[in-house]
Amino acid sequence: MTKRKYAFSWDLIGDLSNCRPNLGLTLRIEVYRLMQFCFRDVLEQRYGTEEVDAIFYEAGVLAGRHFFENAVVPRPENFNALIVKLQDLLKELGIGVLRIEASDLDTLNFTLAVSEDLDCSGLPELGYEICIYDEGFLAGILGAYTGRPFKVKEVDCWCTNERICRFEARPSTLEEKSC
Amino acid sequence: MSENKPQPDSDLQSSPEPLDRIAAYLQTLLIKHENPELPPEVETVEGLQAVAHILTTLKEVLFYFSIGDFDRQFKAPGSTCAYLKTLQSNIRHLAWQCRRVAEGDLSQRVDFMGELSTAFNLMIQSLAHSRADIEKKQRELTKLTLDLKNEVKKKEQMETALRASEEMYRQRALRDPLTGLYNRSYFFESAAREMENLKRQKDGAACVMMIDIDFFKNFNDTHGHLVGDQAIKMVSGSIERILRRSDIFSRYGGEEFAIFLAGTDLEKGRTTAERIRLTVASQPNPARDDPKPITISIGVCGVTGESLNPLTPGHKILMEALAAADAALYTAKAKGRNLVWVADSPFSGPI
Repeated sequence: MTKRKYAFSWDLIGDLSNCRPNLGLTLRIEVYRLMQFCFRDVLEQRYGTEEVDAIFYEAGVLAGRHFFENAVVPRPENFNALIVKLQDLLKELGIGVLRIEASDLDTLNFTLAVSEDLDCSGLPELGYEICIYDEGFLAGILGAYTGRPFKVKEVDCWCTNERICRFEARPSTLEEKSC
Repeated sequence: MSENKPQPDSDLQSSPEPLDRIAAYLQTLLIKHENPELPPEVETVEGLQAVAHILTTLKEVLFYFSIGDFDRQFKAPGSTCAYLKTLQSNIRHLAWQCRRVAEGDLSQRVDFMGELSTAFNLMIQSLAHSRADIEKKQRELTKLTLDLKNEVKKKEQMETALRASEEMYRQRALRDPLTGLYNRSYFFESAAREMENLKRQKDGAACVMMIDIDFFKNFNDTHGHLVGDQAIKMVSGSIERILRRSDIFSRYGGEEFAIFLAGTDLEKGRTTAERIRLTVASQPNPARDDPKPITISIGVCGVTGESLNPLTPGHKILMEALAAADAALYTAKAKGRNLVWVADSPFSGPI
Protein backbone atom coordinates (compact mmCIF):
# COMPACT_ATOMS: atom_id res chain seq x y z
CA MET A 1 0.00 0.00 0.00
CA THR A 2 1.74 3.15 -1.15
CA LYS A 3 -0.65 5.74 0.14
CA ARG A 4 -3.06 5.11 2.98
CA LYS A 5 -6.38 6.74 3.54
CA TYR A 6 -7.23 5.49 7.02
CA ALA A 7 -4.01 5.47 8.99
CA PHE A 8 -5.13 5.95 12.58
CA SER A 9 -4.08 8.86 14.71
CA TRP A 10 -5.52 10.07 18.00
CA ASP A 11 -6.64 13.25 16.23
CA LEU A 12 -9.34 11.19 14.53
CA ILE A 13 -11.09 10.95 17.90
CA GLY A 14 -11.79 14.61 17.31
CA ASP A 15 -12.35 17.60 19.57
CA LEU A 16 -14.69 16.28 22.22
CA SER A 17 -14.92 19.45 24.26
CA ASN A 18 -17.94 20.86 22.45
CA CYS A 19 -18.76 18.37 19.74
CA ARG A 20 -22.23 17.39 20.95
CA PRO A 21 -23.52 20.14 23.21
CA ASN A 22 -27.00 18.61 23.45
CA LEU A 23 -26.39 14.86 23.26
CA GLY A 24 -23.15 14.69 25.23
CA LEU A 25 -20.34 12.18 24.84
CA THR A 26 -22.16 8.91 25.60
CA LEU A 27 -24.09 6.66 23.30
CA ARG A 28 -26.09 3.50 23.84
CA ILE A 29 -24.29 0.17 23.87
CA GLU A 30 -26.56 -1.24 21.16
CA VAL A 31 -25.23 1.30 18.66
CA TYR A 32 -21.67 0.26 19.32
CA ARG A 33 -22.55 -3.41 19.12
CA LEU A 34 -24.61 -2.93 15.99
CA MET A 35 -21.58 -1.46 14.28
CA GLN A 36 -19.11 -4.01 15.62
CA PHE A 37 -21.15 -7.12 14.86
CA CYS A 38 -22.09 -5.88 11.41
CA PHE A 39 -18.44 -5.28 10.72
CA ARG A 40 -17.73 -8.82 11.81
CA ASP A 41 -20.46 -10.18 9.57
CA VAL A 42 -19.33 -8.38 6.44
CA LEU A 43 -15.63 -8.92 7.06
CA GLU A 44 -16.17 -12.61 7.73
CA GLN A 45 -18.10 -13.03 4.51
CA ARG A 46 -15.33 -11.31 2.58
CA TYR A 47 -12.22 -12.64 4.34
CA GLY A 48 -13.23 -15.65 6.42
CA THR A 49 -13.54 -16.19 10.16
CA GLU A 50 -9.85 -16.59 10.96
CA GLU A 51 -8.93 -13.44 9.11
CA VAL A 52 -11.64 -11.35 10.74
CA ASP A 53 -10.51 -12.54 14.15
CA ALA A 54 -6.96 -11.50 13.29
CA ILE A 55 -8.20 -8.11 12.08
CA PHE A 56 -10.15 -7.48 15.27
CA TYR A 57 -7.22 -8.54 17.44
CA GLU A 58 -4.83 -6.34 15.50
CA ALA A 59 -7.23 -3.39 15.63
CA GLY A 60 -7.46 -3.93 19.40
CA VAL A 61 -3.66 -3.83 19.72
CA LEU A 62 -3.56 -0.59 17.73
CA ALA A 63 -6.34 0.93 19.85
CA GLY A 64 -4.71 -0.25 23.10
CA ARG A 65 -1.38 1.28 22.15
CA HIS A 66 -2.94 4.64 21.23
CA PHE A 67 -5.18 4.52 24.30
CA PHE A 68 -2.13 3.99 26.54
CA GLU A 69 -0.16 6.77 24.89
CA ASN A 70 -2.98 9.33 24.88
CA ALA A 71 -5.34 8.45 27.70
CA VAL A 72 -3.14 6.77 30.29
CA VAL A 73 -1.34 9.96 31.23
CA PRO A 74 0.84 10.72 33.01
CA ARG A 75 2.62 7.45 32.43
CA PRO A 76 2.16 5.27 35.55
CA GLU A 77 5.30 4.82 37.62
CA ASN A 78 4.80 1.10 38.15
CA PHE A 79 2.54 -1.80 37.27
CA ASN A 80 0.29 -1.31 40.29
CA ALA A 81 -0.28 2.30 39.34
CA LEU A 82 -1.06 1.18 35.77
CA ILE A 83 -3.77 -1.17 37.00
CA VAL A 84 -5.30 1.48 39.27
CA LYS A 85 -5.28 3.97 36.41
CA LEU A 86 -6.80 1.45 33.97
CA GLN A 87 -9.49 0.53 36.48
CA ASP A 88 -10.47 4.17 36.81
CA LEU A 89 -10.40 4.82 33.06
CA LEU A 90 -12.28 1.68 32.02
CA LYS A 91 -14.93 2.40 34.63
CA GLU A 92 -15.18 6.08 33.72
CA LEU A 93 -15.47 5.33 30.01
CA GLY A 94 -17.96 2.52 30.57
CA ILE A 95 -15.72 -0.12 29.02
CA GLY A 96 -15.99 -2.51 31.97
CA VAL A 97 -14.94 -3.27 35.51
CA LEU A 98 -11.32 -4.37 35.46
CA ARG A 99 -9.93 -6.79 37.97
CA ILE A 100 -6.48 -8.29 38.17
CA GLU A 101 -6.56 -11.73 39.65
CA ALA A 102 -2.91 -12.70 39.43
CA SER A 103 0.34 -11.05 38.42
CA ASP A 104 3.90 -12.21 38.15
CA LEU A 105 6.14 -9.26 37.46
CA ASP A 106 9.15 -11.50 36.88
CA THR A 107 7.57 -13.43 34.03
CA LEU A 108 5.03 -10.70 33.12
CA ASN A 109 2.19 -13.21 33.28
CA PHE A 110 -1.15 -11.73 34.30
CA THR A 111 -4.72 -12.88 34.78
CA LEU A 112 -7.18 -10.07 34.19
CA ALA A 113 -10.94 -10.09 34.48
CA VAL A 114 -13.47 -7.66 33.07
CA SER A 115 -17.05 -7.73 34.22
CA GLU A 116 -19.90 -5.76 32.65
CA ASP A 117 -17.81 -5.82 29.49
CA LEU A 118 -18.81 -3.41 26.73
CA ASP A 119 -18.51 -6.02 23.99
CA CYS A 120 -20.20 -9.06 25.42
CA SER A 121 -22.19 -8.57 28.62
CA GLY A 122 -25.75 -9.63 28.02
CA LEU A 123 -25.04 -11.46 24.77
CA PRO A 124 -26.66 -14.84 24.27
CA GLU A 125 -24.64 -17.99 24.86
CA LEU A 126 -22.71 -18.57 21.68
CA GLY A 127 -20.34 -21.30 22.76
CA TYR A 128 -17.21 -19.35 21.92
CA GLU A 129 -15.28 -16.36 23.34
CA ILE A 130 -16.09 -13.21 21.43
CA CYS A 131 -13.97 -10.48 23.00
CA ILE A 132 -11.15 -10.67 20.47
CA TYR A 133 -10.96 -6.89 20.14
CA ASP A 134 -10.61 -6.73 23.95
CA GLU A 135 -7.78 -9.26 23.81
CA GLY A 136 -5.93 -7.03 21.39
CA PHE A 137 -6.80 -3.90 23.38
CA LEU A 138 -5.25 -5.32 26.56
CA ALA A 139 -2.26 -6.64 24.58
CA GLY A 140 -1.75 -3.17 23.10
CA ILE A 141 -1.82 -1.47 26.52
CA LEU A 142 0.51 -4.01 28.14
CA GLY A 143 2.82 -3.93 25.16
CA ALA A 144 3.00 -0.14 25.18
CA TYR A 145 3.64 -0.10 28.93
CA THR A 146 6.30 -2.82 29.02
CA GLY A 147 7.84 -2.18 25.62
CA ARG A 148 7.41 -5.88 24.75
CA PRO A 149 4.77 -7.43 22.50
CA PHE A 150 2.07 -9.27 24.47
CA LYS A 151 -0.25 -12.14 23.74
CA VAL A 152 -3.65 -12.02 25.43
CA LYS A 153 -6.20 -14.83 25.30
CA GLU A 154 -9.73 -14.79 26.61
CA VAL A 155 -10.46 -17.92 28.65
CA ASP A 156 -13.89 -17.09 30.07
CA CYS A 157 -16.57 -14.99 28.38
CA TRP A 158 -20.19 -14.05 28.81
CA CYS A 159 -20.80 -15.79 25.50
CA THR A 160 -19.54 -19.07 26.92
CA ASN A 161 -22.02 -18.56 29.72
CA GLU A 162 -19.40 -17.41 32.25
CA ARG A 163 -20.91 -13.95 32.79
CA ILE A 164 -17.41 -12.54 33.25
CA CYS A 165 -14.51 -12.09 30.83
CA ARG A 166 -11.22 -13.48 31.98
CA PHE A 167 -7.98 -12.96 30.07
CA GLU A 168 -4.59 -14.61 30.35
CA ALA A 169 -1.78 -12.24 29.31
CA ARG A 170 1.88 -13.03 28.74
CA PRO A 171 4.76 -11.76 26.61
CA SER A 172 4.63 -13.01 23.04
CA THR A 173 6.83 -15.93 22.09
CA LEU A 174 9.39 -15.53 19.33
CA GLU A 175 7.08 -17.44 17.02
CA GLU A 176 4.15 -15.15 17.78
CA LYS A 177 6.29 -12.08 17.27
CA SER A 178 7.29 -13.24 13.81
CA CYS A 179 3.66 -13.75 12.77
CA MET B 1 -40.86 -33.60 55.28
CA SER B 2 -43.82 -36.05 55.00
CA GLU B 3 -43.42 -39.61 56.17
CA ASN B 4 -43.77 -41.18 52.74
CA LYS B 5 -41.19 -38.88 51.10
CA PRO B 6 -37.86 -40.58 50.29
CA GLN B 7 -34.94 -40.06 52.67
CA PRO B 8 -31.43 -39.30 51.36
CA ASP B 9 -29.13 -42.26 50.65
CA SER B 10 -31.35 -44.99 52.06
CA ASP B 11 -34.27 -44.22 49.81
CA LEU B 12 -32.30 -43.18 46.74
CA GLN B 13 -32.34 -46.58 45.10
CA SER B 14 -35.52 -47.89 46.65
CA SER B 15 -38.04 -45.12 45.88
CA PRO B 16 -40.40 -46.39 43.26
CA GLU B 17 -41.43 -43.12 41.60
CA PRO B 18 -39.01 -41.23 39.28
CA LEU B 19 -39.88 -37.86 40.85
CA ASP B 20 -39.19 -39.26 44.30
CA ARG B 21 -35.88 -40.63 43.07
CA ILE B 22 -34.93 -37.25 41.58
CA ALA B 23 -35.87 -35.51 44.85
CA ALA B 24 -33.86 -38.03 46.84
CA TYR B 25 -30.88 -37.62 44.50
CA LEU B 26 -30.97 -33.82 44.79
CA GLN B 27 -31.30 -33.98 48.58
CA THR B 28 -28.27 -36.27 48.84
CA LEU B 29 -26.32 -34.06 46.48
CA LEU B 30 -27.06 -30.93 48.50
CA ILE B 31 -26.80 -32.39 52.00
CA LYS B 32 -24.07 -35.02 51.91
CA HIS B 33 -20.39 -34.39 51.34
CA GLU B 34 -20.02 -36.99 48.59
CA ASN B 35 -21.71 -36.73 45.18
CA PRO B 36 -24.19 -39.50 44.42
CA GLU B 37 -24.56 -41.10 41.00
CA LEU B 38 -27.63 -40.10 39.04
CA PRO B 39 -30.04 -43.08 39.27
CA PRO B 40 -30.17 -44.86 35.87
CA GLU B 41 -33.97 -44.76 35.89
CA VAL B 42 -34.00 -40.96 35.69
CA GLU B 43 -30.91 -40.37 33.55
CA THR B 44 -33.10 -39.86 30.52
CA VAL B 45 -35.20 -37.11 32.13
CA GLU B 46 -34.62 -34.07 29.96
CA GLY B 47 -32.27 -31.47 31.43
CA LEU B 48 -31.61 -33.47 34.56
CA GLN B 49 -28.01 -34.30 33.65
CA ALA B 50 -27.30 -30.62 32.96
CA VAL B 51 -28.81 -29.64 36.31
CA ALA B 52 -26.78 -32.37 38.00
CA HIS B 53 -23.60 -31.06 36.35
CA ILE B 54 -24.32 -27.48 37.44
CA LEU B 55 -25.14 -28.51 40.99
CA THR B 56 -22.11 -30.79 41.26
CA THR B 57 -19.87 -28.02 39.94
CA LEU B 58 -21.38 -25.43 42.29
CA LYS B 59 -20.96 -27.79 45.24
CA GLU B 60 -17.35 -28.47 44.34
CA VAL B 61 -16.53 -24.78 43.82
CA LEU B 62 -18.24 -23.77 47.05
CA PHE B 63 -16.29 -26.46 48.87
CA TYR B 64 -12.99 -25.06 47.55
CA PHE B 65 -14.11 -21.52 48.36
CA SER B 66 -14.91 -22.68 51.91
CA ILE B 67 -11.31 -23.83 52.39
CA GLY B 68 -9.90 -20.61 50.91
CA ASP B 69 -9.04 -21.91 47.44
CA PHE B 70 -10.29 -19.27 45.02
CA ASP B 71 -7.99 -20.14 42.14
CA ARG B 72 -9.85 -23.21 40.93
CA GLN B 73 -11.10 -22.88 37.36
CA PHE B 74 -14.54 -24.23 36.60
CA LYS B 75 -16.96 -24.36 33.69
CA ALA B 76 -20.68 -24.49 34.12
CA PRO B 77 -23.40 -22.58 32.35
CA GLY B 78 -25.91 -20.24 33.89
CA SER B 79 -26.20 -17.25 36.09
CA THR B 80 -25.55 -19.10 39.36
CA CYS B 81 -22.09 -20.14 38.23
CA ALA B 82 -21.55 -16.68 36.76
CA TYR B 83 -22.27 -15.12 40.16
CA LEU B 84 -19.65 -17.41 41.67
CA LYS B 85 -17.18 -16.47 38.94
CA THR B 86 -17.75 -12.78 39.64
CA LEU B 87 -17.28 -13.40 43.36
CA GLN B 88 -14.16 -15.43 42.59
CA SER B 89 -12.78 -12.64 40.42
CA ASN B 90 -13.50 -10.02 43.08
CA ILE B 91 -11.86 -12.07 45.81
CA ARG B 92 -8.80 -12.85 43.69
CA HIS B 93 -8.52 -9.17 42.83
CA LEU B 94 -8.90 -8.32 46.51
CA ALA B 95 -6.07 -10.76 47.34
CA TRP B 96 -3.92 -9.11 44.65
CA GLN B 97 -4.73 -5.69 46.12
CA CYS B 98 -3.83 -6.90 49.64
CA ARG B 99 -0.44 -8.02 48.34
CA ARG B 100 0.11 -4.58 46.78
CA VAL B 101 -0.83 -2.97 50.11
CA ALA B 102 1.67 -5.27 51.83
CA GLU B 103 4.28 -3.91 49.41
CA GLY B 104 3.41 -0.40 50.55
CA ASP B 105 0.99 0.68 47.81
CA LEU B 106 -1.76 2.45 49.75
CA SER B 107 -3.52 3.73 46.63
CA GLN B 108 -5.52 0.49 46.34
CA ARG B 109 -9.30 0.83 46.65
CA VAL B 110 -12.00 -1.83 46.43
CA ASP B 111 -15.37 -1.26 44.83
CA PHE B 112 -18.41 -3.33 43.90
CA MET B 113 -18.07 -5.40 47.07
CA GLY B 114 -20.48 -3.55 49.33
CA GLU B 115 -19.59 -3.42 53.01
CA LEU B 116 -16.31 -5.20 52.36
CA SER B 117 -15.29 -2.38 49.96
CA THR B 118 -16.17 0.25 52.55
CA ALA B 119 -14.28 -1.56 55.33
CA PHE B 120 -11.22 -2.23 53.15
CA ASN B 121 -11.07 1.35 51.90
CA LEU B 122 -11.43 2.72 55.44
CA MET B 123 -8.65 0.42 56.59
CA ILE B 124 -6.37 1.60 53.80
CA GLN B 125 -7.17 5.26 54.49
CA SER B 126 -6.42 4.68 58.16
CA LEU B 127 -3.15 2.96 57.22
CA ALA B 128 -2.26 5.84 54.94
CA HIS B 129 -2.93 8.36 57.72
CA SER B 130 -0.86 6.32 60.17
CA ARG B 131 1.95 6.04 57.69
CA ALA B 132 1.81 9.77 56.96
CA ASP B 133 1.94 10.43 60.73
CA ILE B 134 4.88 8.08 61.16
CA GLU B 135 6.68 9.65 58.20
CA LYS B 136 6.01 13.12 59.61
CA LYS B 137 7.30 12.08 63.02
CA GLN B 138 10.27 10.40 61.37
CA ARG B 139 11.03 13.60 59.49
CA GLU B 140 10.71 15.58 62.72
CA LEU B 141 12.92 13.08 64.50
CA THR B 142 15.47 13.22 61.70
CA LYS B 143 15.43 17.01 61.89
CA LEU B 144 15.80 16.90 65.67
CA THR B 145 18.66 14.44 65.35
CA LEU B 146 20.28 16.66 62.78
CA ASP B 147 19.75 19.74 64.96
CA LEU B 148 21.18 17.87 67.92
CA LYS B 149 24.17 16.75 65.88
CA ASN B 150 24.69 20.35 64.77
CA GLU B 151 24.42 21.53 68.36
CA VAL B 152 26.92 18.90 69.49
CA LYS B 153 29.20 19.87 66.61
CA LYS B 154 28.86 23.55 67.51
CA LYS B 155 29.55 22.73 71.16
CA GLU B 156 32.60 20.68 70.15
CA GLN B 157 33.81 23.51 67.92
CA MET B 158 33.29 25.97 70.77
CA GLU B 159 35.12 23.68 73.16
CA THR B 160 37.96 23.31 70.68
CA ALA B 161 38.08 27.08 70.20
CA LEU B 162 37.95 27.54 73.98
CA ARG B 163 40.77 25.04 74.49
CA ALA B 164 42.78 26.77 71.77
CA SER B 165 42.06 30.11 73.39
CA GLU B 166 43.02 28.79 76.81
CA GLU B 167 46.20 27.34 75.37
CA MET B 168 46.92 30.65 73.64
CA TYR B 169 46.44 32.59 76.86
CA ARG B 170 48.44 30.00 78.80
CA GLN B 171 51.26 30.31 76.29
CA ARG B 172 50.98 34.08 76.46
CA ALA B 173 51.26 33.84 80.24
CA LEU B 174 54.31 31.61 79.95
CA ARG B 175 56.08 33.13 76.99
CA ASP B 176 57.74 36.33 75.97
CA PRO B 177 55.76 37.93 73.13
CA LEU B 178 58.78 39.17 71.19
CA THR B 179 60.93 36.02 71.09
CA GLY B 180 58.40 33.30 71.90
CA LEU B 181 60.79 32.09 74.62
CA TYR B 182 59.60 31.18 78.10
CA ASN B 183 59.33 34.20 80.37
CA ARG B 184 61.13 34.79 83.61
CA SER B 185 58.34 33.48 85.89
CA TYR B 186 58.05 30.21 83.98
CA PHE B 187 61.84 29.89 84.09
CA PHE B 188 61.89 30.26 87.87
CA GLU B 189 59.04 27.79 88.35
CA SER B 190 60.39 25.03 86.13
CA ALA B 191 64.11 25.49 86.87
CA ALA B 192 63.35 25.43 90.65
CA ARG B 193 61.53 22.12 90.09
CA GLU B 194 64.61 20.78 88.27
CA MET B 195 66.77 21.86 91.19
CA GLU B 196 64.48 19.92 93.53
CA ASN B 197 65.03 16.84 91.36
CA LEU B 198 68.78 17.44 91.26
CA LYS B 199 68.94 17.38 95.06
CA ARG B 200 67.92 13.71 94.96
CA GLN B 201 70.53 12.75 92.36
CA LYS B 202 73.96 12.47 93.92
CA ASP B 203 75.59 11.85 90.53
CA GLY B 204 73.45 14.45 88.83
CA ALA B 205 74.65 17.78 87.47
CA ALA B 206 73.19 20.88 85.86
CA CYS B 207 74.34 24.25 84.58
CA VAL B 208 72.78 27.68 84.78
CA MET B 209 73.75 30.38 82.30
CA MET B 210 73.15 34.11 82.27
CA ILE B 211 73.59 35.75 78.86
CA ASP B 212 73.67 39.44 77.95
CA ILE B 213 74.00 41.10 74.56
CA ASP B 214 77.13 43.27 74.50
CA PHE B 215 76.70 47.03 74.12
CA PHE B 216 72.99 46.60 73.52
CA LYS B 217 72.05 50.05 74.88
CA ASN B 218 74.40 51.69 72.36
CA PHE B 219 73.07 49.43 69.60
CA ASN B 220 69.50 50.44 70.43
CA ASP B 221 70.37 54.10 70.62
CA THR B 222 72.22 53.92 67.29
CA HIS B 223 69.82 51.78 65.23
CA GLY B 224 66.49 52.25 67.00
CA HIS B 225 64.24 49.92 68.98
CA LEU B 226 62.87 48.03 65.98
CA VAL B 227 66.34 46.93 64.89
CA GLY B 228 67.11 46.30 68.57
CA ASP B 229 64.14 43.92 68.71
CA GLN B 230 65.46 42.18 65.57
CA ALA B 231 68.82 41.75 67.30
CA ILE B 232 67.15 40.18 70.34
CA LYS B 233 65.21 37.82 68.06
CA MET B 234 68.35 36.90 66.14
CA VAL B 235 70.23 36.07 69.34
CA SER B 236 67.35 34.06 70.86
CA GLY B 237 66.80 32.16 67.60
CA SER B 238 70.51 31.30 67.26
CA ILE B 239 70.68 30.01 70.83
CA GLU B 240 67.40 28.07 70.54
CA ARG B 241 68.71 26.09 67.56
CA ILE B 242 71.70 24.88 69.62
CA LEU B 243 69.77 23.81 72.74
CA ARG B 244 67.96 20.55 73.45
CA ARG B 245 64.19 20.35 73.91
CA SER B 246 64.74 19.48 77.56
CA ASP B 247 66.72 22.68 78.25
CA ILE B 248 64.84 25.63 79.75
CA PHE B 249 65.58 28.79 77.81
CA SER B 250 64.00 32.07 78.78
CA ARG B 251 64.15 35.77 78.15
CA TYR B 252 65.17 37.00 81.56
CA GLY B 253 64.54 40.65 80.83
CA GLY B 254 65.61 43.30 78.29
CA GLU B 255 68.61 41.88 76.46
CA GLU B 256 69.28 39.20 79.08
CA PHE B 257 68.61 35.48 78.76
CA ALA B 258 68.76 32.62 81.29
CA ILE B 259 69.28 28.96 80.47
CA PHE B 260 68.96 25.86 82.63
CA LEU B 261 70.73 22.81 81.23
CA ALA B 262 69.58 19.64 83.03
CA GLY B 263 71.94 16.62 83.16
CA THR B 264 74.91 18.77 82.14
CA ASP B 265 78.17 19.01 84.08
CA LEU B 266 80.22 22.19 84.21
CA GLU B 267 82.60 21.20 81.40
CA LYS B 268 79.78 20.41 79.00
CA GLY B 269 78.01 23.59 80.09
CA ARG B 270 81.08 25.66 79.38
CA THR B 271 81.52 24.02 75.95
CA THR B 272 77.87 24.69 75.12
CA ALA B 273 78.23 28.29 76.26
CA GLU B 274 81.26 28.74 74.03
CA ARG B 275 79.38 27.25 71.11
CA ILE B 276 76.52 29.64 71.74
CA ARG B 277 78.86 32.63 71.90
CA LEU B 278 80.58 31.71 68.63
CA THR B 279 77.31 30.98 66.84
CA VAL B 280 75.84 34.35 67.79
CA ALA B 281 79.01 36.16 66.79
CA SER B 282 78.93 34.50 63.38
CA GLN B 283 75.37 35.68 62.56
CA PRO B 284 74.82 38.67 60.24
CA ASN B 285 74.04 41.90 62.06
CA PRO B 286 70.39 42.94 61.66
CA ALA B 287 71.65 46.51 61.36
CA ARG B 288 72.93 46.18 57.80
CA ASP B 289 75.00 49.34 57.92
CA ASP B 290 76.84 48.07 61.03
CA PRO B 291 79.77 45.85 59.98
CA LYS B 292 80.48 44.63 63.53
CA PRO B 293 78.83 41.39 64.58
CA ILE B 294 76.56 41.28 67.57
CA THR B 295 78.27 39.52 70.45
CA ILE B 296 77.18 38.16 73.79
CA SER B 297 78.79 37.56 77.15
CA ILE B 298 77.91 34.45 79.15
CA GLY B 299 78.25 33.57 82.82
CA VAL B 300 78.06 29.88 83.65
CA CYS B 301 77.44 28.24 87.02
CA GLY B 302 77.70 24.47 87.42
CA VAL B 303 75.73 22.62 90.10
CA THR B 304 76.16 19.00 91.19
CA GLY B 305 73.62 16.96 93.07
CA GLU B 306 76.11 15.94 95.75
CA SER B 307 77.00 19.57 96.48
CA LEU B 308 73.45 20.51 97.40
CA ASN B 309 71.92 20.63 100.82
CA PRO B 310 68.75 18.51 100.68
CA LEU B 311 67.08 20.88 103.13
CA THR B 312 67.61 23.92 100.92
CA PRO B 313 64.53 24.59 98.76
CA GLY B 314 64.94 24.29 95.00
CA HIS B 315 64.10 27.92 94.30
CA LYS B 316 66.71 29.10 96.78
CA ILE B 317 69.37 26.92 95.13
CA LEU B 318 68.32 28.33 91.79
CA MET B 319 68.59 31.91 93.03
CA GLU B 320 72.09 31.25 94.32
CA ALA B 321 73.14 29.62 91.06
CA LEU B 322 71.70 32.49 89.05
CA ALA B 323 73.46 35.02 91.25
CA ALA B 324 76.76 33.19 90.71
CA ALA B 325 76.17 33.00 86.94
CA ASP B 326 75.25 36.68 86.91
CA ALA B 327 78.47 37.54 88.78
CA ALA B 328 80.43 35.50 86.22
CA LEU B 329 78.62 37.36 83.44
CA TYR B 330 79.76 40.69 84.89
CA THR B 331 83.27 39.35 85.07
CA ALA B 332 83.04 38.43 81.37
CA LYS B 333 81.81 41.91 80.65
CA ALA B 334 84.64 43.38 82.67
CA LYS B 335 87.19 41.20 80.91
CA GLY B 336 86.25 42.76 77.56
CA ARG B 337 82.94 41.09 76.55
CA ASN B 338 82.24 38.41 73.92
CA LEU B 339 83.43 35.96 76.55
CA VAL B 340 82.29 32.93 78.52
CA TRP B 341 83.16 33.11 82.22
CA VAL B 342 82.68 30.20 84.61
CA ALA B 343 81.61 31.05 88.15
CA ASP B 344 83.08 29.57 91.31
CA SER B 345 80.54 27.20 92.72
CA PRO B 346 78.54 28.76 95.54
CA PHE B 347 77.65 25.27 96.82
CA SER B 348 79.92 23.60 99.33
CA GLY B 349 78.12 20.32 99.74
CA PRO B 350 75.53 19.00 102.18
CA ILE B 351 75.79 19.84 105.85
